[in-house]
Amino acid sequence: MNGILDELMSSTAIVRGQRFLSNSFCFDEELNVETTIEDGTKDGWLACAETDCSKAPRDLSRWLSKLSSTPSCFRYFLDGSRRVFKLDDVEFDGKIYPIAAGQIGIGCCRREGRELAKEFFERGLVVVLPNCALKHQREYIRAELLKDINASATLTRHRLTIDKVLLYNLDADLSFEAKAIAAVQNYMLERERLAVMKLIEQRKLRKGAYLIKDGSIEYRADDYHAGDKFNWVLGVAKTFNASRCYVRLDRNRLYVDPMLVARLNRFERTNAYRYPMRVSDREINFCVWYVRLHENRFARNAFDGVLKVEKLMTPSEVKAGVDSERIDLISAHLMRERNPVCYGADRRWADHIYPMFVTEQLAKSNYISDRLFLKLF
Amino acid sequence: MLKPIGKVLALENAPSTIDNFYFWTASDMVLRPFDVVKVEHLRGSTTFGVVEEISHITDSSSFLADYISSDFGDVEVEQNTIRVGMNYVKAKVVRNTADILIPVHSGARVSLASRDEVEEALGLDQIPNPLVCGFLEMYDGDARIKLPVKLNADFLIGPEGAHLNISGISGLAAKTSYAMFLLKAIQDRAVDGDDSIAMVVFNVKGKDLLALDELNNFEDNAQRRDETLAMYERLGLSAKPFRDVKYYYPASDDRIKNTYVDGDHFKHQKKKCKAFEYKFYYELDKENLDLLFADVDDQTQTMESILNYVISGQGAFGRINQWTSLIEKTEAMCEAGGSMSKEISVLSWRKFYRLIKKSVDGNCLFNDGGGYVRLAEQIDKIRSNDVYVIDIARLSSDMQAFVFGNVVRKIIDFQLGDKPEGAPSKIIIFIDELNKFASTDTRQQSPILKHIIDIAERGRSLGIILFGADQFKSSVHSRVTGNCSTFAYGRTNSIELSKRDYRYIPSVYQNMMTRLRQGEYIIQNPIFNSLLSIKFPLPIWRQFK
Repeated sequence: MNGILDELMSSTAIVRGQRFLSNSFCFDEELNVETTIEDGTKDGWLACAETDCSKAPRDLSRWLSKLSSTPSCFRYFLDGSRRVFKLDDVEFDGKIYPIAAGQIGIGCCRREGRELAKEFFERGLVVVLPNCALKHQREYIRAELLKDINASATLTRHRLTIDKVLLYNLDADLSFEAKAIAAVQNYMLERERLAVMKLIEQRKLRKGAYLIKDGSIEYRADDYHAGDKFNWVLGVAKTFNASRCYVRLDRNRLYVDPMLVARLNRFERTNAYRYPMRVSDREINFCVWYVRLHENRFARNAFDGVLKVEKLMTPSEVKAGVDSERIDLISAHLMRERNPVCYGADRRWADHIYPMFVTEQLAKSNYISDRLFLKLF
Repeated sequence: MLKPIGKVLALENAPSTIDNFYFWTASDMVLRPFDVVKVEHLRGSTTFGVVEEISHITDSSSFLADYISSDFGDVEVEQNTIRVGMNYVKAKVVRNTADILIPVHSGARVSLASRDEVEEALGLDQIPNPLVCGFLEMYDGDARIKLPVKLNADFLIGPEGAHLNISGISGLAAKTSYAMFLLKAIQDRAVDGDDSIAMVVFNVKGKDLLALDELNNFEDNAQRRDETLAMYERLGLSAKPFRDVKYYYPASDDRIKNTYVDGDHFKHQKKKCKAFEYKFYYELDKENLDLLFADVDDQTQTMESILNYVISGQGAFGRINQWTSLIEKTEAMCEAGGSMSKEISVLSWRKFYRLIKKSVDGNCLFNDGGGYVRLAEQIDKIRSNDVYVIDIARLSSDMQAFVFGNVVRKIIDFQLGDKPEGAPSKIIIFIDELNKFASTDTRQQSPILKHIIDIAERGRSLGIILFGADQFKSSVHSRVTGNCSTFAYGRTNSIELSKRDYRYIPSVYQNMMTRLRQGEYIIQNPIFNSLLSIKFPLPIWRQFK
């Protein structure tokens, strides 16, 4: 192969083991890997998180007419994407472990008027090894290894650098392949978080210039303790686990009632609910609600056409609840994003909002080609 | 380097080739077919391309996706975000500055070209014997450029190439105006240079060409006049109408008027010794009688036999010298037993008689009175820079063919014979509705068709150049169009464009041809690297409405 791995194995003593020169390929992106906290349900949902929980579901058709000639409040759209490749199998101490590599892309678009433009794109390349591949796992050893990798002739020739060497543990809870994918996924989430922080620090987010981040915003990061900073950031997920839709309120307790979400009519939303998460021994709170953009009669299942929306609650919102009118407004603006659709280009079209679809395309279209990427190794 | 407007695309199913490449541009980038673009290429060279097709795409994967994007067909729905879209352009490679022919590479930057670069790209920068054939306009807004287009006269009026075919829909294409614009450019060039050229122009419609040496009054619109005259000067032409023009009108009498010219206009021209009336005299013009039968179906060649009999003066025809006598003698041949020739039946004589009587009898063009000129003799007197306008507009088709054939035959003889001092080395003949005389349906034995083909094939060496105009290029005889070096396409209808003659023209240019406005032409000439879309200014000579 004469790629980075060969150079590493032959010229350094950091990585040990014997290569098998097995097939390289891209892991199925759909491989369902438990990599991070989903839906916050592990910490349990609490009661209503908004000021008015008297109506459920809430029909926002009136808001839609009211907003018909108002500019959208969403200006930035951010999405992370990853591709993970199995490079080879290596043998250590009589056992075989996969070596993987990943490309991640963090795309961010801004909307000016009604047109989308690139705000930024960041690429990340990582190598994933089993932790037993290194004699020592100390950080400086990894830094040395990274230095060696980036000094390799192959990367220099292509003017590329590997950003990080990731390790996966050898616990028996998941397959090694899934662990490798999870390592890349977590790295991508971290880069997403940094990208969100960048927009916040550049003071680009404000009223009328919200950021929509694709998927969850439940990062376990200390940044969240920074009060109102995240006031203009929303996590919008197109897929969610229906078995965790804790939306029926009964004497301050929530029950699983996926049908309430499934039965949402077009332009309706559920109430918003609060759920806490502990980060660095301090509690932070998110509010979550569901909105239906499209009827599901043309869709694949009952939950198609519904988006899950997350927002970090400020301390005052935790006390008094998030203003229901604000949630209505955000929801109505989201409903206005229902068109155009990416029907035909993505089977999740009913759950996609178009700017996010384009942002996803921005991230994916900037990947190094699979062939070139694999050839590096 | 002007600001880049896009980058080259090279896909598996749309690769860059030696001949073509694709590039993307922003949706709001205004380009037009025929615009020139340049691309950075290997070794610091530049490849020039001419825009052929412009397409706009979005990421919508199907019609249905767009329908769904309007809430399943609600026309009132406004979308918060405009779909991502771009234009992609197909360009034809016309030149590389270092003669590097390999295809331009994906991602290469594409930009508009400067005026000098456009000239270089289209091969307009180093044209010997330049002859202006119009001007081109390119780009939009601040980048807009306008430059004269010149072709190498050697490839239009010989010796390298000759003949011009102008085609387009009557009225909308302004074929006559464009032909006259070119003739004006040729006359200006000849007057200022060493060319020895005369022109014979047939006026076939109304009074179109009956005041070529008078300045257009531009319907008293001073601004239009000033702009047009300025444009002529910018193109390097004199802001004056034609010079040395002589007008030849068919003789008329009180009973039959053979021309549309106004009496006063004619008198005015005659007073200045530039208008004449022409006639045909039996004794001198009987050799051309066959031209009257150009369109007569004569599969058994009996008409040809009779014509030989008459022209060679056999039998009673040896002693006649007047048209009236011809009719009398022919009538006599039609009586039972009247035919003195065993080979020609009385029935054939009767047919001949009907035809000759219809054309000649009572036609003042064929009475032998004096005071008129013979066109053949006038051709003998033609000199360099002369423009002869021969009016045939009001004549019947047969008579138009007769006059045209007569003049063409005489010009061939004139160019082949010993020429007097001052005679032009080249004569340009302009005839509108060329397909009347040389169409694909014209009888192969037609003497006029034979002369036209002769001119098309040998005219370059004889010094006879044919400028023909017609509605349908496809209907002109292929041996005529096949020998034309230059084609000018005005507005053309779709049915005509579906003919095989236009197969080599890219479809987008074909579609443009259906939309060309008056004063716009697409030009094809061997020296240009590509078809060119040009414009020409309003006529500078007097127009009759």
